[in-house]
Amino acid sequence: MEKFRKKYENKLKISILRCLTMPIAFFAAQFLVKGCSEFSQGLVTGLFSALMVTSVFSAVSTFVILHNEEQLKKRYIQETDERNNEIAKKTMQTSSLISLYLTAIAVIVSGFFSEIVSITLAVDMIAGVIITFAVNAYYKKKM
Amino acid sequence: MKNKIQELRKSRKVTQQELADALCVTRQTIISLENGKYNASLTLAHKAAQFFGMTIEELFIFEGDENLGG
Repeated sequence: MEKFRKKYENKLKISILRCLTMPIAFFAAQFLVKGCSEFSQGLVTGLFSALMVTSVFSAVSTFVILHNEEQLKKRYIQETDERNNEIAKKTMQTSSLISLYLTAIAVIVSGFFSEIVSITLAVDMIAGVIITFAVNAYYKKKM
Repeated sequence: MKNKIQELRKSRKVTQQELADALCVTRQTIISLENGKYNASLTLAHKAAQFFGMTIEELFIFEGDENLGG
């Protein structure tokens, strides 16, 4: 439980740091995309706004949890519950397999309409497979 | 894998929530264990056995050909 509390204290520090640095990063990004298209500017604004909102939300919720023993224990149980972890693991396994198959289908289908889209999807799929193999090799060594 | 968790819990008048709190798991995990939908890890099996004051073998009934790769 103490380890978990430490983890949440660190999470709070990171969230506060994110809250403080995000506006600077936002203005820096705005400056960088000044001459770019309206779409790029909108994308950057949307992305940084979402990051700012999630940072503030994370900082507030972590602060509340850290100052309420009952909620901290509840969160500890929820996050360390082995059945929940097993469900999350299986969900990730199944969903990545489904998305891999769907991307493969999309590569073939998009090949009839747009070469660029098809190649982009193929690269994305190959990158995903490479990352999976790399992570798998890491865990094989670790365990 | 079958287990005697529900039987022992009821005989000792312990609620699912109380058992869940004692084992640091959610009540849903206890429900799944009792229904046989979920097999406990060695750590959880150990904790549960300790809670009921018995051995893992007494609490969990291993049914021969489960995941023995045979």
